[in-house]
Amino acid sequence: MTKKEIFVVSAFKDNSVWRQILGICSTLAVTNLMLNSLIMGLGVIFALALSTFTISLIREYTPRSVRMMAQTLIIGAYVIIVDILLKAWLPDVSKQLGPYVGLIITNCILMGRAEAFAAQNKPLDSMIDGIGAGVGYTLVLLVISFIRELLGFGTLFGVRVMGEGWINWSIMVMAPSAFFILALMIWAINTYYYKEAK
Amino acid sequence: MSNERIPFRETLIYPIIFMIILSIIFVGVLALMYHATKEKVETYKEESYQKIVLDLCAPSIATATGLNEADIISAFPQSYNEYIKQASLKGEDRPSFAVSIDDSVIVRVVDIPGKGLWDKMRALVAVSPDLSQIRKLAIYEQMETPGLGARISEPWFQEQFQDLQVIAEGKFVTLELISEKQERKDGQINKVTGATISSGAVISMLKDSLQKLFEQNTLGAMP
Repeated sequence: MTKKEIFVVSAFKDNSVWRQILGICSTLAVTNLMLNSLIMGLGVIFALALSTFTISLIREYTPRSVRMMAQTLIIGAYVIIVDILLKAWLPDVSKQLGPYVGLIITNCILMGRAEAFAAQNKPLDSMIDGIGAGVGYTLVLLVISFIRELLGFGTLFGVRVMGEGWINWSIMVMAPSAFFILALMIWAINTYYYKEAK
Repeated sequence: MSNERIPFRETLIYPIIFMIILSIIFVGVLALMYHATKEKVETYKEESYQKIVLDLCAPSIATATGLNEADIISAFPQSYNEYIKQASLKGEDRPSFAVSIDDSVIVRVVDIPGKGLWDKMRALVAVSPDLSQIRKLAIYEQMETPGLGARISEPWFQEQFQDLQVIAEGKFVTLELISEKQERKDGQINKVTGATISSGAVISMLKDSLQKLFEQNTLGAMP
């Protein structure tokens, strides 16, 4: 596979969220505001790129029996690095995100890519795969948060777009809306994007 | 055949050594980074706390000195050091602050604890010297539901408490919660839609702490 193919497969064809149904918890949790979704997405892309690269780099030396332990350690370390960097240089963003950054560690997509790709492939390819998976994930988050923020708050990235008479849909702010928007999105993609495969 | 050497990579000890080395490297890097940024993070925390205190006192300072409120705020940290002194009140769990002009206290800022829906919350409250009136309120620590309860941090909600006489005849006045869209009268507070508990928690926090501080500090001293 060329590098471009790796990216396309991991970001769209085998998208972690809509194809593999991974990373659902955070998809449901942070999508009520577009800004939160974007920053969460960037955090995941960064952590994925670096952790898949590192895991692939040491794959030859990693004993099979402890590989998952090693992967978790590496992922955890990079996520904490993101957290420390945000706290020191972007304290306002860090405050906004609260505990979400730390929760990247438990995002199944990171373990998924580490096990499925980085453990068997070259470092650079793994990094591209990681970035692809992160971009795919961010894309889903942004689509869901676009709908939720627009209908739930009448704003996009905090900027008011709905007119004065707009009544916020409280349900869009709460968790249930994320469930059904995600479900509708997966249904639509399965029906239209994967049409030929059927 | 018992003499056959097992390659080191397949021995039992190899995974253990591997994990130890990996842990040392990553934990070491983290520790270094944490240490390198610790001071920066602490400074930021302290500064943002001081900025809230100054922001709360600014209207009162402006009234007393005739200066412009925005100028006082933008002159941080000089203005903070000039006007705000740490004070102490009986029954407080974190130090309070006081602003004195010509040797008389014009405003106090108390740091009070409360219990929200999910977790503890804390607020800084600028109060009149006799602790009976809220001048300005800032909820600076809370873990309420984003988009619902967390909206207690929004300016419109907190501004409702501005210049509010909360203690009359030694008792905390009754504050009634009404819906967000309703017109507000005296003694009423518009709650955040979908967050009755969080809105009520703010009032309980103010009631419990301010009543206690008032009783312990002002009642005895009153004629």
